[in-house]
Amino acid sequence: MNRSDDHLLALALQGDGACFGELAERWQRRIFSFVCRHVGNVEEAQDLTQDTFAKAYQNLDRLTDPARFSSWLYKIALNECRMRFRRGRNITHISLEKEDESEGIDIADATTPERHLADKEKSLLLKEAFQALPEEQRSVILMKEYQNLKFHEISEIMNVPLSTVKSRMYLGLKTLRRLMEKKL
Amino acid sequence: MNCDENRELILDVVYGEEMNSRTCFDFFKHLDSCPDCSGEYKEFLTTRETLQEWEVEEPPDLQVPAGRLSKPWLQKQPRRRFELGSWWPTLQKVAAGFLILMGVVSIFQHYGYLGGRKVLVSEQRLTEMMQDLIVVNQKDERKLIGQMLVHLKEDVEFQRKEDMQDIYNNLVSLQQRYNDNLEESNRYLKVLLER
Ligand SMILES: [Zn+2]
Repeated sequence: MNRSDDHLLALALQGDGACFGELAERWQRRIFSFVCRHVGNVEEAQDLTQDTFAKAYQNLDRLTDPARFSSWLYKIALNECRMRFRRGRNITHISLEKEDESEGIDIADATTPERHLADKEKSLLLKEAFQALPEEQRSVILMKEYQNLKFHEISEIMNVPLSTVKSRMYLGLKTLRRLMEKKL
Repeated sequence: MNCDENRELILDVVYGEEMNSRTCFDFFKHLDSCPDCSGEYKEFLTTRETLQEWEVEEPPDLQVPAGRLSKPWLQKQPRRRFELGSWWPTLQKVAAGFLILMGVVSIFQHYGYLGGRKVLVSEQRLTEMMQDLIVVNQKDERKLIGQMLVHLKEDVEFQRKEDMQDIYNNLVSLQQRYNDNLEESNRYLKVLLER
């Protein structure tokens, strides 16, 4: 049976750990992709994603409005990214792509190996450009561009006015474009 | 729409945020006539295309089937929901409900659909008002009657004076006539005696 997020959340709020596990399975892909782009490191992103869900589960009783579950989850994830940034852990700049180049090529994929390498290079350039952005601008663009959140949702997650979200987005995109033009 | 207004909306349009159709129309109308804003709009679209080329791979952990729930976060049980965070919203709802109920009861009492002090007080007040009105009316009536009696007395006195005058006049007239008659009779008797 495919239960809705609301249903699973209601059961999780009553202490059903398995339901929270199912909910986490649904959301961890999105949270991971956000965290991964934010910190620019796969392994660290995996840890931070785990930490995000662990914190969410521990603090589930503090979720006052279940309709805002996703915003609340992103808020925790963003906080985890920021805390990691403050802790200033040593970041071993592992590429977001798989270590072994040959492993990444799907035989069934119609694209050529050259094309694949070009794509990987672009991803690497984007990752570097994002890491060069101020954290606030990076967070806004990641949530908007890759998580498809509405501006008002980002405003709620980041706890800043809507106008601030838009100006961060505007400046961030302009900076990214300039950085990418330099690199490409 | 000017360039500043157009730039405020540019991200909403590029990201397909909800927008009033009139505003959207004005936005594109401005783009048709403004190469600067039009250039910036195209630039944002191109930037978005570039951004979409960034793909991150899924973490190996995600390949685990949904049935295997040995996730680390499940080892920590959440606190039960009996702290401030859980009963406070309930208390707020109960308080709001109580206030609404009080309001409804007051409205019904006001319009007399429910028995209550307010209605009795109103009736009592109404009786008092009627009594006051009667007292005032009585006072006015008494005053009026008094005035009428005075007038009547004056009239009667005036009338009596006139009547008395008439009687007097009549009496004077009768006496005059009696005297006249007596004088005439005497004259007549005298004539007869002389004959
Ligand atoms: Zn313009």
